[in-house]
Amino acid sequence: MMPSENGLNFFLSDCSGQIRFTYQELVEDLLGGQPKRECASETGLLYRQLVIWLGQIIRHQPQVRWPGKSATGGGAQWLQPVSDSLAGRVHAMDFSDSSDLTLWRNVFLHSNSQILLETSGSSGQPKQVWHSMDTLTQGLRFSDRHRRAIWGLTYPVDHLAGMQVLFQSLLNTTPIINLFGSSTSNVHRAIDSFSISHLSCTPTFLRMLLADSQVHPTIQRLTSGGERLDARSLEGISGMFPQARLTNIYASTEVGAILVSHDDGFVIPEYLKGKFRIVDGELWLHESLKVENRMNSSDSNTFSQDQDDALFWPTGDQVEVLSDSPWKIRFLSRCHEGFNVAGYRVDPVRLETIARTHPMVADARFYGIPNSVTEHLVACDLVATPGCLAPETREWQEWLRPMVARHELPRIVNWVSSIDTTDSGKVKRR
Amino acid sequence: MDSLTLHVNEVLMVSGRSVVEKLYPEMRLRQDLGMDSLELAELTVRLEAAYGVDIFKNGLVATVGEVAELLNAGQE
Repeated sequence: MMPSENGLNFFLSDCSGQIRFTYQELVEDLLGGQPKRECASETGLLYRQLVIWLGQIIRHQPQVRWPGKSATGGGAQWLQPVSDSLAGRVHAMDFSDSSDLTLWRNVFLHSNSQILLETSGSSGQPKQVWHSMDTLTQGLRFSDRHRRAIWGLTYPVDHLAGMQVLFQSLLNTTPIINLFGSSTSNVHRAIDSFSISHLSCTPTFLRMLLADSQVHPTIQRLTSGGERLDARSLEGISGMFPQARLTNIYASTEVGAILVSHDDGFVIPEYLKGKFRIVDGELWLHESLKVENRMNSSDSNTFSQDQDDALFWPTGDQVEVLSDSPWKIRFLSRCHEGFNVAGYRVDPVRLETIARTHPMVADARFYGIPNSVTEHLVACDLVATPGCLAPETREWQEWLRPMVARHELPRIVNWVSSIDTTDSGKVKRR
Repeated sequence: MDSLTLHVNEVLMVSGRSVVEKLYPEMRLRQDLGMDSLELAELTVRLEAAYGVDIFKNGLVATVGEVAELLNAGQE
């Protein structure tokens, strides 16, 4: 088995480089049905979960769920070895041979399995959605150029964004460095020590990085999604990642990755125009875009021409129209991230954008505290810019006061070391 | 009463208003201290965080004295 184009011959590493699993090892373990090596670390656990999960997929198990931690411990139900014919073909693979590479990809892409995903839960109860390998790998690219990538994984793999990074890397046999759960300083260190070239993360994760004065010239592709990408972050990206091309993605567990752009707006492609509606500033999508309605078609990545009015559903995403021709929109916030204060609707994402323009504020989280008087009261957690003394709260509130309505002024302000995020990296609202 | 004074003054300072040196039980929150709904909301949030008592759970109370009584009852 030949090393990848970038010279690194491993599949998965922790951010320090001390725990590594090679593609050779992965192939043996997938075919055999269980990992041979014991490894009691977070990345070791992730590897074991991947052996089970990917192993189920290549065995065409009808329904595949992400294995919990207990499924990989003592008494785990490992998989049966694959058939001799499949094992024989895969063992003989040489990843430098294009036909063998195609075989490797098809072992996964041709699986009939339905794969369960849960939504991120950043804005309500998590939902369950069944994907096919077609819908899960929608938008992924395979080429010699993509085989030179070194990926930083910042999402949990059992969420859509994490799975997309996994398959983009796995099907191009490139290395993944597990950055999920790592401190910001370790992430910076790993980007440099591994010369990470591709990073996919939420704007919240990006803001944490951008708070530090570092430059990472190795990053060539930066993919952002899951939340609104604010203007201040956009400005900061070119400073920290001078060689990076930004890809902004609109994706959800329900529809997959459906829109791509290179700035903070999205042009609705012609073939999707009939499937998008904006009602009172909220984006509505046609039912035919949902993965569950595409999985039964002969090609899961084409959409039916049905535009029945009754079949549109509200996404909960607030948008603004930037232009009509081309039809370009920008995402503002999730509708239900807002809350009521004394009868007024408050948009925490808008307030966070304003708060971050203060030079001594690196990040902010606004939220509503329930109370018996006004339903909610605006509060915020603030992260001071590294190297700066946090301003006096009163002083900061006086700075903010002219820019917000009276009911929007955060009356409770906490200075914190970091902002709470969900498992998938989004600002935690509840 | 001293700690209640501190919390009331926190609320007044956020609004950019002058603090009070001393609270008296008969002082009315809205008419004498001039508190509006946002300030009352902030007061109840701060007091609940400090004492675990929602002073407005059963409706708005009128005076400083009533607030103190609810806090004392909640501490027992």
